[in-house]
Amino acid sequence: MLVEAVNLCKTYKIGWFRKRRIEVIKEVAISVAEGETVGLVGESGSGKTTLGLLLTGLLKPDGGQVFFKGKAISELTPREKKDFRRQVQVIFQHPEVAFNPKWRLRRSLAEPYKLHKIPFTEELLLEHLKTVGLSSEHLDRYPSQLSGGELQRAAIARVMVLEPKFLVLDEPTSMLDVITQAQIIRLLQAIQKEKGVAYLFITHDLELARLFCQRIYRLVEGKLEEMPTVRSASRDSATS
Amino acid sequence: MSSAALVIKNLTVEFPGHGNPIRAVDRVDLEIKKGERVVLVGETGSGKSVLLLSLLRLLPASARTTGEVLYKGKNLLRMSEDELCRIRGQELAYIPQGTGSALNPVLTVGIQVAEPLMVHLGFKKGPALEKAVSLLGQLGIPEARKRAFEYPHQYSGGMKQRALVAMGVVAEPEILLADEPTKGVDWEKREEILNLFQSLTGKTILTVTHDLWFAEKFAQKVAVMYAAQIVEVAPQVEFFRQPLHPYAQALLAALPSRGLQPLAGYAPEHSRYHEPGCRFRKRCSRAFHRCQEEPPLFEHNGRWVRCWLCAG
Ligand code: SF4
Repeated sequence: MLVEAVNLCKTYKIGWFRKRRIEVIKEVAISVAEGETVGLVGESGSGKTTLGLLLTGLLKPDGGQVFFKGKAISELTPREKKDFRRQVQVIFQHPEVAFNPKWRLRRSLAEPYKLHKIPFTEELLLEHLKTVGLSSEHLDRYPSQLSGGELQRAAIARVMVLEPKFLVLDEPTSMLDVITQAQIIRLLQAIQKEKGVAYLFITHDLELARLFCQRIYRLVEGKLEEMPTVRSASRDSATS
Repeated sequence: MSSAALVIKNLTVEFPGHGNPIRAVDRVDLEIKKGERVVLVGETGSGKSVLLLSLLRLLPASARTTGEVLYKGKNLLRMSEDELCRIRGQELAYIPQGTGSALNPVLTVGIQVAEPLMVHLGFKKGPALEKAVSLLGQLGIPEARKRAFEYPHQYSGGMKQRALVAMGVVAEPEILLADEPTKGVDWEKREEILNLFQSLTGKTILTVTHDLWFAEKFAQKVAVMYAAQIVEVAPQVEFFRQPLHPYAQALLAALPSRGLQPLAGYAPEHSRYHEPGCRFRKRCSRAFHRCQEEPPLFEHNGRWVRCWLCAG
């Protein structure tokens, strides 16, 4: 397994003096194989994003372990940790949060090359842009001059530079119109086919998860239940 | 006597740009019958929200609006400010997006719902509040009598949307104009908002949305906007069974339930609108030589379609 979690627990303390405790994730076990897409559905506030962040190591669990390529991420050596940071990435619902509004796209996209000491050339950057359906004309624009779909493509281009093995996709299309949503999902599928990257696809849209994922889990009151990946009952609506 | 509640004729909205003005709404014609529920769908930037705001002259002063919006035989765009103020809120009401800052944070919800009654219908504060409380209750606000005296920040997203609807309908307007009622609303809450809108029986309603699920469930008539123009107007059933404009077809084909087939490319930028030809041409798989000329809206079996393929 590429990513595996056992007995994962997470509690938030809330309210005045942080006295109230809410158990968001309760002894959850989940696994994602290389090149696989696993769906995670659930109502808003059910803890989907929390679980996604626990798997990326961006959030620490209160109990349980996350394993990456068989090794507990809490026990990685500093060198392994650096590698892990590069190989596990997140794409957010609001791509604008991932971009400095005062920077042109060129600068934002060049940043990961610098941070991770990846050899940088303009040609390489353009090649990455092309794979996500953007071109040189987008490079001189500010985030506010790009549409939601263009910005999400740019966010994907930026993480793909790092050649990740595991991507948490946190509702990446829920703010987009249907045509852009279909474009982005097809793009992610093409990238997966070429690069073998695994996805955890967080969504509230079961229909979409069924089209995109090999396995689907639903998070209910902190616990995971596996869902069928094909429609069981016929649905009355053309658009639901 | 005409059965039309609102007739939009050749409506154009322009904003000053760096070079040429930016045309956000381009020569739109649309008729809404009395008691009809029309949903105008389009993606972000298509011009649908600007169109809605222009009908009530709620756009910034820099906007230049031409054409006609006929209500009871009078053009709303040329009416005096006084006359328009009288109509706005009383006969024609606007329901803004629930996620925005449409509610005043320092006034209780009850007072805000009661306000149109006091301003337009001369109600005293007590009876106006009484009516506001009963309406909030009807629209599903629990413990309405108590909650009417709370402030907007004490309301959940769904309750805020209900309060906005209450503000819109309290003076019993003839026409409701609603902007993206399900935008940014959780999947589970959309059903609630749909039920709320469906409960407004008998009202003439024009809603703009990018949400095709809402459009299918709520509309009697669907209008599609692309790059500032209306490209198709059709009855709901026929539209969802067989859209005629290639863009409308692509829109439905992209739905997960219909196969998630993506249409390549992007809508043209505003600065390109003046280029000749059909605005969908570069993305259209069925484009042919005629498409280099701009198609008008053709009437086609009781529907309106802006495509040379429907030229008859
Ligand atoms: S007019 Fe031509 S380009 Fe435009 S939608 Fe019709 S076929 Fe396509």
